[in-house]
Amino acid sequence: MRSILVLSLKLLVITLVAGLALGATYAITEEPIRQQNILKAEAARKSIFGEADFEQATEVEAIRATDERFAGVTDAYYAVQSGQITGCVVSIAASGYGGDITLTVGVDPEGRIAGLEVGSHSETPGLGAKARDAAFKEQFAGRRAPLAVVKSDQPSENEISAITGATITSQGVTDATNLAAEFAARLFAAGGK
Amino acid sequence: MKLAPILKNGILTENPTFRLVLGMCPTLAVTTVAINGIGMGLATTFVLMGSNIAISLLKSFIPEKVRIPAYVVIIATFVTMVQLLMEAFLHDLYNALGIFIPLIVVNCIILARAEAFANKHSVIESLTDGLGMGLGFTLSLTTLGSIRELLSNGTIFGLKIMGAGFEPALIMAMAPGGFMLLGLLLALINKLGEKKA
Repeated sequence: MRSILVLSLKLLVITLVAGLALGATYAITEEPIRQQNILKAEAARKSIFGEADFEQATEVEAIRATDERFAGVTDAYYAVQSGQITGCVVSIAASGYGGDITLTVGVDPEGRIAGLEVGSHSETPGLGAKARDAAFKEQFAGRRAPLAVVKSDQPSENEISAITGATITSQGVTDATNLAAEFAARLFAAGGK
Repeated sequence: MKLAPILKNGILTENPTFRLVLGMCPTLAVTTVAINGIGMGLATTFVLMGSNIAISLLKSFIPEKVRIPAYVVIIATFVTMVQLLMEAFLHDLYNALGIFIPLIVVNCIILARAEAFANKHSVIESLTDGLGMGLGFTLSLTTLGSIRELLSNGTIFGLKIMGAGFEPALIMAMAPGGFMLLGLLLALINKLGEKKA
């Protein structure tokens, strides 16, 4: 009986210290991690539209409510250059092979895809993780949605060539990009500001 | 106990991948390219050194009967702290390694070294053992990753090695190719070891 008490107490001490250490680490790192994520999102927007100003779109909630397919859209910004809206940036969660992939999709007012950035993901390194590579991402620039995925090296005008061995990832990213383009069209239709 | 033999033990004599055949799950999963091997190896080395130190320090406090839960709590705490700190202060490295860090918790090398070494040896010896085992793991993963990257993509560390006529063997990037290469390397190393003995 006594030995069980001693065992439990010692385990309690270990887990308590571990819990306190984790709590302390979390408290210290919470703010820097939040800052890093904000910086990352900003950097993704900048890499698509350069030195534009970004204004958070206020219509996101309303448009998302109109169609349940838009549930993955987390955020949207207008890119504004000298008073003119030059495009918009939609953050959307794509469904990949290993879970959600955060995508930032830039769309210009004519409905062309201006660029694509892949944020956090859990795709297989060497396969699905290649969605981050320029070779895959750059296929989207200048194209018009809807785009389809093909397993060929010579995609036509509205086709995206899949990453070898990662068709699910390629399909997920392309589907989400199509949705983001549709969402952006609604945003532009809402008249910007 | 001398420190140099402990270090050599981890890198060569009891190399975790090719001699003890431990930690196969992360090994096969991450060695699709060479750089992943280095990343996973070094992150594991860091955790291994930390957990070996902690467990060696606590070896007289942790009761024999509940040592496994105690070790698991210590290792998991350590990995989570490393992950949070890296995400906050070394964000680029975190982005590159992100997915591998949680995998370290389930790496049985760490629990194996706690059980087989750190709870019987001094802090300095345990630290050296962690370093040696970690470097041995890094070396094995990088070797596997380099060969798989070369055969499946024609590159090593992203540098083009093979000429334009090279037909990549995509199977090497996937799990079956990983298993085959691991088996062949294990056979080769056993053969070499046989001659010496």
